[in-house]
Amino acid sequence: MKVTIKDLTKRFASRDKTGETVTAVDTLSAEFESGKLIALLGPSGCGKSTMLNMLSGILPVTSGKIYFDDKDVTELSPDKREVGLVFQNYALYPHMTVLENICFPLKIKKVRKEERIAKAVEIAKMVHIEDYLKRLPKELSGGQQQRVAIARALVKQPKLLLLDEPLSNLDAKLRIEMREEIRRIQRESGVTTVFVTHDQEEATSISDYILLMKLGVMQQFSATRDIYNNPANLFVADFIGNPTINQIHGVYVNGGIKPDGSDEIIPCSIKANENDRVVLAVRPESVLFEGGQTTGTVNDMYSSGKDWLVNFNIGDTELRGYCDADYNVQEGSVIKVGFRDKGQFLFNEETGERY
Amino acid sequence: MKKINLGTIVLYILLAVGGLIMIFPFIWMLISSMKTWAECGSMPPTWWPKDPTLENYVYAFKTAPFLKYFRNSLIVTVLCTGITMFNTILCAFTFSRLRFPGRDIIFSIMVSLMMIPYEMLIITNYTTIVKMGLYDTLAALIIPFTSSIFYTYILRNFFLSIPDSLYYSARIDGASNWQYLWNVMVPIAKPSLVTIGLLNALTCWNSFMWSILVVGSVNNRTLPFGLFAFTDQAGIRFERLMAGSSIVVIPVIILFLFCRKQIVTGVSKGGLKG
Amino acid sequence: MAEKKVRKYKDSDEKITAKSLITPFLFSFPFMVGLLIFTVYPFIRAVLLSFMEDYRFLSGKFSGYGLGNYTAIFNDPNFINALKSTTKYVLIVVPTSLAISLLVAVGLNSVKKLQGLFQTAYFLPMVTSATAVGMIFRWLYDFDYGLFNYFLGFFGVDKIHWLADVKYTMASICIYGIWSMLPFTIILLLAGLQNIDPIYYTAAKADGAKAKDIFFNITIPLLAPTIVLTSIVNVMSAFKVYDSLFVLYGAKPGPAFNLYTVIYYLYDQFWNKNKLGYAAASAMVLFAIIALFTLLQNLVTRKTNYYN
Repeated sequence: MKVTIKDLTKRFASRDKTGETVTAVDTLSAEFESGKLIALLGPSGCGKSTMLNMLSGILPVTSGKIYFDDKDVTELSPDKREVGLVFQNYALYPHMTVLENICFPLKIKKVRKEERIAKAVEIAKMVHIEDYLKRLPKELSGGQQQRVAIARALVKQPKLLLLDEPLSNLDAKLRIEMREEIRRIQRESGVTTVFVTHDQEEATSISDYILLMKLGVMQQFSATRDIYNNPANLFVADFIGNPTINQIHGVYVNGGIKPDGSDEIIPCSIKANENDRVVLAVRPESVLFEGGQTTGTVNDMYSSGKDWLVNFNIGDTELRGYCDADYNVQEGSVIKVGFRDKGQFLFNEETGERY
Repeated sequence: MKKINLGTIVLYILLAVGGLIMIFPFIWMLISSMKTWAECGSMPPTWWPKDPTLENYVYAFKTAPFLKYFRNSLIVTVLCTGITMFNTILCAFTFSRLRFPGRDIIFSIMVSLMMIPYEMLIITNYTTIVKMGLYDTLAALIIPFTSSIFYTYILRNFFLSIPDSLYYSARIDGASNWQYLWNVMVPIAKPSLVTIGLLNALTCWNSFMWSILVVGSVNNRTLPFGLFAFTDQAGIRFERLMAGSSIVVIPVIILFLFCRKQIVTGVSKGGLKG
Repeated sequence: MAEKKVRKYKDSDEKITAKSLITPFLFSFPFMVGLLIFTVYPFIRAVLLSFMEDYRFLSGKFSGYGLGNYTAIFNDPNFINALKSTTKYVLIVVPTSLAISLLVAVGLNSVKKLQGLFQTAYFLPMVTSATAVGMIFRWLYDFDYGLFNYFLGFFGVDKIHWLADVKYTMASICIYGIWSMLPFTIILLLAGLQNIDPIYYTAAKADGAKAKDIFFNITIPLLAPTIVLTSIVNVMSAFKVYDSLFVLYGAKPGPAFNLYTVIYYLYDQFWNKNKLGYAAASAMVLFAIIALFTLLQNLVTRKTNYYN
């Protein structure tokens, strides 16, 4: 099912008595393609959970419209939207066994008992919890509870699956395992899925599309690969990628950037207005340690497995880059570096807009 | 081997003596109820009936319709508790989960109504019952007591502790408020409900003054009223009065032996808030 | 397209629709009906009644509003007497049962075995019918064959007319009152004790404190809020003493009316004398006392932040 959001806005009254309102989601428009996995990404407080809750119908909207395919569902109550929702804390019914939990939506729909058990078992097999059907939620591990929650959300064959920070309650190892599971389950079921996360790595590793938000405003909505390779603004470039992108603040002069605290000019193929304050952002893997012309000083270096992560300075700016393990530098070494065109972006310092 | 502390032994002995004093009246009640008239009136008293007899019980059941009293008490207790629980569950749900304008104000008014002493209300409630045509019926013993703010208050607090996500989950699963309440909230709140139900049942079972006001005929008396009236029938024959008291008290003792934990938790939870 | 004006909640965009109002209405309906008919209405009527002058029970007529009922009851020696004896009863019963309960609760809290048995014994009186218990005490207080007089005999004390002699009636209801108040008090104090983090005891022991020091320097101060709140609740319940006295004295206010309590007075004016105005006025006095203590209770609760 295709999801279309038009000028969606949500304002909350602030907690204190000033009567001011906080805009959690600001005139946001997007279209989610059918059968895709979309990540709602952003730092905490950016309005991504609010978005999800409006999609599910838990939160009424202030203004704007939500369409499922061509149907306007903005005013529809949650039970009529045919969505499945998995909460951060899973929200399993503590007094029901795994099987009863999964069966619950069907029981409410008055599906015959044999039929609902058959369906529940089928879904349970898909999420690999068929061995725990008789257990109570509290007797399961976090990952298993997560699977039950997903099964319960899927059993009624929703047209849209919503996951609210599904992995944040799991430990690191399980998190990676479960995110791949979510990807697999989503592929198998083919259901359009929206999931909320604040972890860019989580988002980039499994989603087809990423919608990145900041303070209620959509920053970029594009295919996952594009958001990394083609960030719309400085915030996006900064938020996506680990280690984070290098930022060199300076002035645009003579077709290059003069970094603060340095007299050298870094050549740059991207055009900007002369004397603009700019930020040159470079992905760490786009830093070249051979054939460059800009002078840097090595601060320290860490082994990151197959290669080294080098921490160096250009003027006042600290940067990071990857180099081969056999590249011979040490702390204090003065080096010449350059930047690859790919993974190099230029932004206006004031507006964050990309040139 | 752990050394047995002298202080500990003394403590156990003191607690045992104290406990014995506390339940002694009931022990004495049972012992006296099995004595003959002559033995009951003998000095010094005997600590165990020489010839234990159930005659006093037989007398009680014959002279006064204790069986009927018992039945009435049972009906009143079961119905009153049932209706009260139903009302309490719905009302606690309304004030914890549902949203409507003025909800919190209405609830705080309700809470402040808790301090009205019940005796203040009987003046009018008596008239109301008479006007409703319920004078001298079992319904008169039930209907005025089915809206307990106190139990609603306790249950609402429990309902509030159930995470919102369960509610939204259930709503998305297609459940209505009513289905959510009975399928999710009530089963989760079972321990609280058992406690409230027990406290309510005990209050009903022991309730006395109100029944004197609104029940006239022998047929509609409950056990405590019946026992009080039994004084006239049995005279100052304590072995018989003790048999009558035992009939009232024994069911409660049995209940208490089985459900002590729930009752005690209920009292300690609700005690200071009431 | 004309936008329809819809009312919304201030803090969210939830719409206030007829449907969203009807659910809470239906859900709370059975409760509210009962509450309005049997609590709110009689309360308001009692307040009004207490100010109605010369209210006639049968005709329902009255001559006007005023303080007549209040001046009447405060000039009625029986009511003054009732207030006095109730206060005396409260002042004896509440502190005594509190002191005993404190000892028992600390004892119960420190034993590990036989908890269930002890609890059963100490708490049982709480759940039993006041009528039956009143009957039992009547038997224990019996002049000729009652156990109280039998035990007094051991100490060479002459038999006492517990229930008939004006000198001893207060003693007899207080003994009964303390006994019946203990279970509830012990439960609350025990719960309070169990809420004290054992880390304080461990710390005190590490500091070399003895059992007595721990009791007075750790247990009592930490238990203080519970003690205060328990006392307040007990004062309120003691003010309402009635059921068992009614049975103990066979529906009579004791010899020479010296067992007239406030509630007794209320019932008497209402039931036997049909003076609804007096009954309502005395109910208002009781209400004022209870309200005062409830206020106090809330104040203490808030100040000690007991539940957080």
